[in-house]
Amino acid sequence: MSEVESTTLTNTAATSAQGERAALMRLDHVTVEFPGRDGKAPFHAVDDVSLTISKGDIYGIIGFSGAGKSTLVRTMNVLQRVTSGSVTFNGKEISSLSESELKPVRRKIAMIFQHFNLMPSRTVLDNVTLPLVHERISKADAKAKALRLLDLVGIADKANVYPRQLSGGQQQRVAIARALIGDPEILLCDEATSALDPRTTRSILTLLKDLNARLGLTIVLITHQMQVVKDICTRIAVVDHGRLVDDGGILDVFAHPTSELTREFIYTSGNINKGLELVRTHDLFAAERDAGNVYLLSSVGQGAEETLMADVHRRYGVTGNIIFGNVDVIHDTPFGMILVSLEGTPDAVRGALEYFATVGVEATPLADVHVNETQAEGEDDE
Amino acid sequence: MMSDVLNTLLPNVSQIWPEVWEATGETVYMVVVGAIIGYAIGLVFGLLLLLTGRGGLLRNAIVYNILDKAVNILRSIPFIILMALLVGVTRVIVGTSIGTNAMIVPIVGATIPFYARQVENALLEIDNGLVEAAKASGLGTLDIIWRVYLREGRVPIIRVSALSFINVVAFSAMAGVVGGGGLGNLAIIRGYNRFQGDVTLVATLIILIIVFISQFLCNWLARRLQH
Repeated sequence: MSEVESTTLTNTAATSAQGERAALMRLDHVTVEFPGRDGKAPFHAVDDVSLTISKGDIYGIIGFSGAGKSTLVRTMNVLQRVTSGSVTFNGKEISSLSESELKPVRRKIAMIFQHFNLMPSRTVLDNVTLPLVHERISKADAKAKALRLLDLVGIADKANVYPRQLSGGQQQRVAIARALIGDPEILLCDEATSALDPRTTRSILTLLKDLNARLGLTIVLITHQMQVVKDICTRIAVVDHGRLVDDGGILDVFAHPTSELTREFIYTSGNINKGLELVRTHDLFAAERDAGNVYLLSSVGQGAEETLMADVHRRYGVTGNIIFGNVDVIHDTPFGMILVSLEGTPDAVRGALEYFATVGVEATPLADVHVNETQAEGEDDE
Repeated sequence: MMSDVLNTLLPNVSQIWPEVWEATGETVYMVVVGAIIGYAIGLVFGLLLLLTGRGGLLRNAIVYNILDKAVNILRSIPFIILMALLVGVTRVIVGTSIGTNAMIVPIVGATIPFYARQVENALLEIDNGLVEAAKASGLGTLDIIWRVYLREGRVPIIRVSALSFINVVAFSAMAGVVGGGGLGNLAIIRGYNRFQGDVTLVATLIILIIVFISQFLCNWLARRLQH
């Protein structure tokens, strides 16, 4: 621990530039290359990714399966070696440490998994204390600590049962307790809720949020479900083919997505894909569709679409018909997406669109709105 | 009364009961000592195959390939020829090439590659996620061998041990003929060469009982450890 602190000193300049929230983990141009089979070109699972995770963040990394996000998160505890670039934890470069040097570091970077990965032959209690084998802690103290953590994650009564007797949600709680036993500073969650039903997913996310608030635990969450990100993340990074295509505070990214993929995730998670399908295929909207005046409006922190429509009518004589709408709450802030058809002269419509931009409402013509079908199906599976 | 029935049913065996029990003792001695030594060494090689193989913790293509080929070659040699091949080794280790102690050397030699492969395959079944979780918890390679592979793999290891035991018994029977004594020897020199069919039958029954007991013990242990 002390060596980690001493090396942090060399990095104070960099962290203070970050403001009051210190950088806990930094990836600098991280690339992971897998050799191509049968003479094929090497495959870049992670391609030049740079990102900074600050203390206290709940950092969501979202992408489709195969996008390289699991490989990316494994570079953070060096379960995966980087081909180039560096991973810095607490100001100390960890990506080039030897396996034995990594042991104490990994105790501070805990991890939970999609399939929980509990040891089937050990009781819940023995699973939780397993990471302590080399710590200077008595059996009794280890047991007391494990019981305290099992209580914290809400399954104190299951200490002496075997993992197989538990439900998925309970197993993930045990895995979280095991992850916390070494007093980690950061918890990496690799698709931790993907094997769980929606209700259990919510309860695990609530637990993670609670741990973040109570223990100041920094959390990195890998997922393909935008709902998970929307529920608890403060920051988000979008990964596509190993590359980081968007990252920032969650509301910023939702308000101003810079990549097509991010838009897709946002539209899909807002269920707006159902509205889009309706407008694009239903006879009812044939006229609006053909006129090309259907727009998707998205806004953060507004939540007053009627007022907006009244405004454009008063100012520009444009009539806005709301076809489909969805309002989410992300971090206590309403995030709205509505499909409207704007009726008026071309100049008036242009004026209305300019007005939307001035009030922070993003307007996208229907033709430019793309939703990934596979993602839509994925969400239906839940 | 009882002995009369036995005398009639087993005319030859009833003359040589002490010899039968002695042979049984020799067989039990050969298989138990052979299995213990063979399993211990085989386990080490099985772990080495697992750890140096693809996806293993100590991936090393050269070591793996050498071990892999050695195991395949040794397993391909018929036991009776292996005994002949190992006779020099046996003389060096035991000082003689006949007797039960001498026969333990080829039994061990034949058991190692067989058991190593069985252990490797059994441990490959262990979910790699468990190894990853242990690594992520800060456990080292030795911890993972001891606390994940051997601990989580103990039931499959017991099962392959039970399976391999049948082979060890078969080796011991063959070894007996070459000069090791035991039930195999008895069945051949009395039952086969002197046409004393009842001796063969009794030797077979005792071998089967030894195998049944070993399988029963292993199954019982596996069930007890299964969660």
